[in-house]
Order: sequence, then C-alpha cells, then structure tokens
Amino acid sequence: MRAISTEPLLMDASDWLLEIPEDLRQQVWNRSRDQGSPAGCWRSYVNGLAATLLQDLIRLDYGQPAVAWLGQSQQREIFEVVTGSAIALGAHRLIVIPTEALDDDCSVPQEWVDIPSWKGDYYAFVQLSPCESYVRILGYATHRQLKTQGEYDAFDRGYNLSINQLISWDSFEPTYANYSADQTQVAVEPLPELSPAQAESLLQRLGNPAQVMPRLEVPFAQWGALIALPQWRQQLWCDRCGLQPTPSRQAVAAVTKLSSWLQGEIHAAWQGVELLLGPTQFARSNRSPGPDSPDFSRGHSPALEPRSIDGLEVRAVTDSSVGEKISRAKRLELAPEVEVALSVTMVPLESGDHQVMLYLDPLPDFPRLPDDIELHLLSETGEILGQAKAASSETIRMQFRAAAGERFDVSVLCGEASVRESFEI
Amino acid sequence: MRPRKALVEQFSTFAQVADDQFQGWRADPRLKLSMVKQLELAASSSLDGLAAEGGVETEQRWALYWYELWQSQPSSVAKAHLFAYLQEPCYWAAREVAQKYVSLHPGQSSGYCTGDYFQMAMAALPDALGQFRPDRSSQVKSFIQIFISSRLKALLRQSKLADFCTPWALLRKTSKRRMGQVLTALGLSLDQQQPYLALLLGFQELYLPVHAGGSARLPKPEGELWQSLAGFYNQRRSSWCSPGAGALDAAQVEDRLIKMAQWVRNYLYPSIDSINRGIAGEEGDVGEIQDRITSANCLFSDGNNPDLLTSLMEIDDHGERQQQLAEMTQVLAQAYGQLDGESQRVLALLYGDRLSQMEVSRRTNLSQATVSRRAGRARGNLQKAMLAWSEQPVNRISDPDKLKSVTNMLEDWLELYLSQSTHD
Repeated sequence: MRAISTEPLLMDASDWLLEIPEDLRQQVWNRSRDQGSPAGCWRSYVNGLAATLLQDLIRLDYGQPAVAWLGQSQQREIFEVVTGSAIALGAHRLIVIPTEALDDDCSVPQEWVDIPSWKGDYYAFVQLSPCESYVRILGYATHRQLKTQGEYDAFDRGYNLSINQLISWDSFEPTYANYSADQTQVAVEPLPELSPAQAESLLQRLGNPAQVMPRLEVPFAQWGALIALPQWRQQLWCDRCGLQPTPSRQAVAAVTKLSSWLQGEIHAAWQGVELLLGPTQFARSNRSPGPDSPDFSRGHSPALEPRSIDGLEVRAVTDSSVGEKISRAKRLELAPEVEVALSVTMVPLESGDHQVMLYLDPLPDFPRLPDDIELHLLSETGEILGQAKAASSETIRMQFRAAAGERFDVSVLCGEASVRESFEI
Repeated sequence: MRPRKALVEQFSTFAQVADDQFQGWRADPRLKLSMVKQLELAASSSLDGLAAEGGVETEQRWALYWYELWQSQPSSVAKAHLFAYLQEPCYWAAREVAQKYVSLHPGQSSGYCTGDYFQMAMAALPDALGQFRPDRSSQVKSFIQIFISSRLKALLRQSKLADFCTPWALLRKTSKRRMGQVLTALGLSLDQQQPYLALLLGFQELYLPVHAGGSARLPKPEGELWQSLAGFYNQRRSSWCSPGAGALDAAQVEDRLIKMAQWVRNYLYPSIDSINRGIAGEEGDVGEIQDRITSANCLFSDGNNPDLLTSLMEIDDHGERQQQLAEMTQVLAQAYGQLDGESQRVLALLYGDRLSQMEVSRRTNLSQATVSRRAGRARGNLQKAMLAWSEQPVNRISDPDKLKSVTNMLEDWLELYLSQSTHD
C-alpha cells in the first residue's frame, strides 16, 4: 500500500496541513491504550493527535502559551463518552474538535458548547487524514458563531457549521487574543444541580458499558450536569470500565489546589515547613521574596534562566506581592530508604498571578539529597517545562509564576524511582 | 476563451464547453431581450452607474443589481442573468482543476474532462452565491472562482481519499451530515433516513481500528460486530426512529451497511448527467422586474457598519475607494517585502504561478505540510499588517466572524499582486 503522505493531495493554497511524525503517532497510540472502552481508546488517540499537533503549533511556531485543560487521567474520562478537548491559551480557551470524516464535517458535541464549565472561546476543527499521516485544520469558529449560526442536530446532539462558515486558521494567531469573552461567547443556560441520589441513579444506568452512547440516553440537562462534575465523571468512567475507584487511583487523580490553602483547606499530608524540616529551612521559606530580594540565602543551582516557558512563566518576580504567602511541605518517599521533602511556597501578586517556589530539601534524618535527584516541572500533559538538579546536593529550588486556575505537575526523579504531584493554583 | 465585451452579452450568453475545449458563447434570446430592456430603462431613468457602458465598474454594478434581485426574488430571471455573468469564473475554476489534476496524477484519469468540471462548477454556483456577501467580499467573480475551485478540489480530494478506503473505512469516515445528503440524493425522506443514520453512528462507535495508521484499511468486520450493531440498533430504534422502523437482525444490518458504503462511494463520483440539470434559463417573469429597477440605488447606499474593511467595500465615492485600495496595497506590498525569502517564494509560487501546494512542495523541496504552514503564517503576518493599517485596534472588528472578509481580500490581493510581479 502506498503511504498517503507521499500521495499528492489536491489542496487549496490556503489549506493548513500538519504532518503527524511516525513516532508521535505511535506514542499517542500507545498512550491511548487501556484508557477505557475501545471507542474511548480510539477517541483518546484521535484527540491526542489533534490536540498535540495544535498545541505544538501554537507553542513552537507562534510562541504562545498553550496548556491542556485536563491531565491524561481526567481527559480519558471525557473521551470515554464524548470527543473533543480543551487547551488554555492564557486567558482564552480553545476547544479542539477532531474529525475523521472525509467530507469536511464541522460538528461540535453539545457538551463543549452548553456545559458552562466546558465551553470555550474558539473551536478548531481538525481533520485526520485516512492513513493518519497528517491533519488538516479546516478553520475555527467562536462559541458565539456556533450558538447563533450553527445548526443544532437533536439526533446526535451536535452543533453543525459548514466549512464555509469557518474562519480561516490564518487569522487565529494574529487576532485570537484580541477578543474578550463577551465577543466570542454567548451565555448558556445553567445546568440543574443533581442530588447525590439523582446522580447515583444516572450512574447506575449509564455506567453500564452495554449503553453504547450514554450521552444520548438521558435528557441533555441531566447528562451535562452529571459529567460537568469531575467526581461523577470519574465514577462513570470506572463503572464503564468495570473498576472500583480505589484510593490509589484517586490519589493519582488528586490535584492539590494551592489557592484553597489560602482559605485554610490543607490536606494533612502537607505539613508546616518547620514541622517537617526544623527551624533552619523554615527561616528560609519565611523570607519575603520580591524585587529587592530575588535570590534566596540558601539553595543552589536553579537550572532555570528567567525566561518564559509554556504557560508558566519561569522568571523573577517583577510585580509586588500582595496578601499572605503560604508555605507547606510534604514528605515524598522515592524508595524505601530514600525520602525527601517537597516544599511549596505561594505568594499572591498584585497582577492576580501567583509566584510559586518549589524546594526540594533533605529531611532532618538525611544529611543531603541523593546525588542523582532531579526536580521537573511539567505541564499536565507531561511535557517538561523546566528541570533542576542539585549541584551541592543540599537543596534544589525552582521558582516561576502562574495564573489563577493554571495546572502544573511536579515530578521528583531519582534513578528509577519517581514521584509526581499535581497542582492547580 | 473569447472575452465578452458588451453588457448585454455578458448577462445573456452561456459558455459552451465540450471535452476540454471552449467552443463559444451561446446566446439565450430571452435573457438578451430582458437585458436590452433593462438597459433602456436604466438609461431613461438615468440611474447612476447602471446606464452607461462604463467598463468594469458598470458591469459589477449590474452584477450586484441582479444579485440583490435574485436574493429578494429567487425565482426571477435575475438568477439566469447572474449565472450568465458568472460563466468565466466557472470556466477558469474548471480548467484550473482539470490541469492540476493532470499535473498531480500524471497518467491517471479522474474520469472527468474540463467540460465535466464546468458542469460541476455550474451546479455549485447556487451554493457559491449563497456564500457571497457583497458587503464583505471584493469582486463577485474572483470570489466565485475561488469558492468553486475550492469546491471542485474538495470533491476530487474526497473521492481520491475514498479510493484508499475499504468500504468499512469509508463508513467510518462519512459524517452523519454527509450520509444524510447521500440519502436525500437517493430520494429518501427524513423519516426513512433515520434507521440508516442510526446504523451509521452505531457502526462508528462499535467498529474501531486496532492499530495506529490502519483506519483506511479496515477489514470486513467479524459476524459478532453485526450482532452487536443489531442489538444497539434495536435498543436505540424507539428513540431515534419513527415508529414504523422495524427491528433488524445481524444479516439485515450487514446488508444495509454494505449498501450504504456503496451509496457513499457513488455519491463521491457523481455522473455528469445527474448534475446537468436546471443550470440556466429558469423561467422568470421579465416584466415584473422592470418596476424594480428604481430600487437599484439602494444597493449602493451606506450600511452602518463600523468596520473599516467592510465599509471599504461600501465606499460610494469611486476616488476615495481607489485611494483606500491603493493605500492598502502599499501596506501589503511593504509587509510582503518584510517576509523572509522562503515565505515569499512559497507565496509567489502558490498565488503568482497558481501552483498547487504539492507542486510547490516539489519545486522547493519542502514537504506539502511545510508549504501550507509557511504560507499560512505568512498570510497571518500580512493580515496583521492589514489590520494595523486599518488604524483601528483589531478588536474594533467587533465580530471575529468578520475576519473571513479579511482573509478573502488578502487572497484576492495576493493573486493580483503576485501574478503581476511574476509576469513583469
């Protein structure tokens, strides 16, 4: 069989094509296995390709921040029942809708349009080629366009546009940031709040994998209300895969919400720094960061130059801090005899962003950090945004700046062992 | 193709294209009479712009006039006049696509000749005109040519891609919307379509590729699949289909899916006979329209659109409009000059020489995807310059939807500018 990538394609001069490198295709395929039902795995694959390529285009070619809305484990719960994913572009939100159809179909599942917490500013339509060797960006539309010009189809609950109604992808980079939400979006009906009993009864019915398309089985308002909430989404996924939500899986999915710390909601695993490390480190973490003291008395080798990487800005603080900062530390067990302390300090800034500082310290029982230990800062899709090693094995430090609601992961690696923590501002 | 000069001829004759040759212009006597009368009327009422033989400007005003009339009276003779006027863009789009196909697939026949493409182009005209916005696009002819050439390419591309697909893959790669079009073309009512659409969605959910890169070569499903699909269908039937739709067993389901795949493939290779109907010269009441000519003035009155690029199209004053266009051209030419050499080369080949992305890819040793990406970003940069020039912050184009007109204008400009500079 001929590879279609070498097959000449009759395209318009204005068509956008992105190649799918063979290794990416295989990587996304492997990652998509065992993510749920066969249809869920397939959606995970198709969406994975589309979202990765678009995210790379925006990040690498346009030099703009682009961060996946959800991590892999939460995303697969969505793919189990519906296609589409969301990318945060600073303050804007882009929904990526892949299509396999050869016929330039532009249909958005209702979930991405009418669930208030899911809807986006922009919707990009990405067509996968028959042999999965390239994608074609058909164009994009705003939420407002979908709601005002789109044709709603009750049969499969989707908003349809024709390809002629889409805006050329050419315009996206020059203009996307210029529009505010009230220009790109229209208000949608709030969804009803489900009682736990209602949710339970829906889950009982829709959690049965024999229901091939659960999204179409109950009225949209109920369905939307159910899957808008992460815990029910997770439950639905577990039920359909025949799994019980185990504590360990929950632990994987658990995200530490740093802004909740400011309200005093702190999980017991996160202790006071002094409690875990003793007074010396506490004194360090208690020092106020700011333009006058961008550096810290202790700690070495921040491998990160002040620069902007991805959605998270890794650089020195330029605006002044406002409000209380907060620090907490957690004991991480890398191996039976290898334990370290990860401390997180968060400072709310005037601009509404937050300065985040990460420290990796030896616990009081250990004289120093293991030699080969590394601290990685990752996007929630697992992409490395920054990494640091300890030169003197005393402390690793990393600081960056993040906007409200932004997600990131921190991974501590030591030889074969690694521990990963997920955070949200 | 011999150019048509007189206004009467432009709005009342049709191109004769046989095989790959333009044969001549065939006059439609009824349209000719109608046009002559309209011209007389315009002269006697001394309507500005419509009366005299004033070259391109007058021609375009007449086109707009028929366009507006066709919008308000779809069954009038206006449509036929408009179709007559738009013969050239249909012909050039057909020729372009025929030539590009040969150059991309040497030695392979698409099964169609220029004449066939021309018929397809004419069949696409109503859709093309449906997309045309006089206040947003520049010239109706260039808009129609771009639209139709793009439509023809999509048709060819889709049938070419479908050739790679097994029937089962093709079913996975057919949208519900397209299936509906196929079934409508076969004469099925919406009620009759529902069972087929339900089967299509069920099939797509249940029959999935099992390795990466294999979705085009999907083999025939095992018997179990038909069993599950029948189960799915019988369960969903009550909510998706009208009460008349009976239960199906696995064999019936398989049978239907096989037929559906065949129908989709046939739809992608339309026979010319099926296209070749009702293209021009529909009956319309000539007399009734004559009263309407007095309303022609309102066509050119100012809309209250604040967007500069939009109002640019509506500037009444010929001189002012020309000046704005000249300014914009200068800004764009300057922005073009600031692009890197490779981007310029790619754009020149795409728009100046009107080569396809694939041909450009061969000439530049870049992949087709890189060509498309390079060109896309370059156009993005030109757009930035254009928006900056409009002296209003971009966000004053209050609706992102209107960016489409910017894209259209830019492509028009690129073709004009680069075809001049390459042929100088």
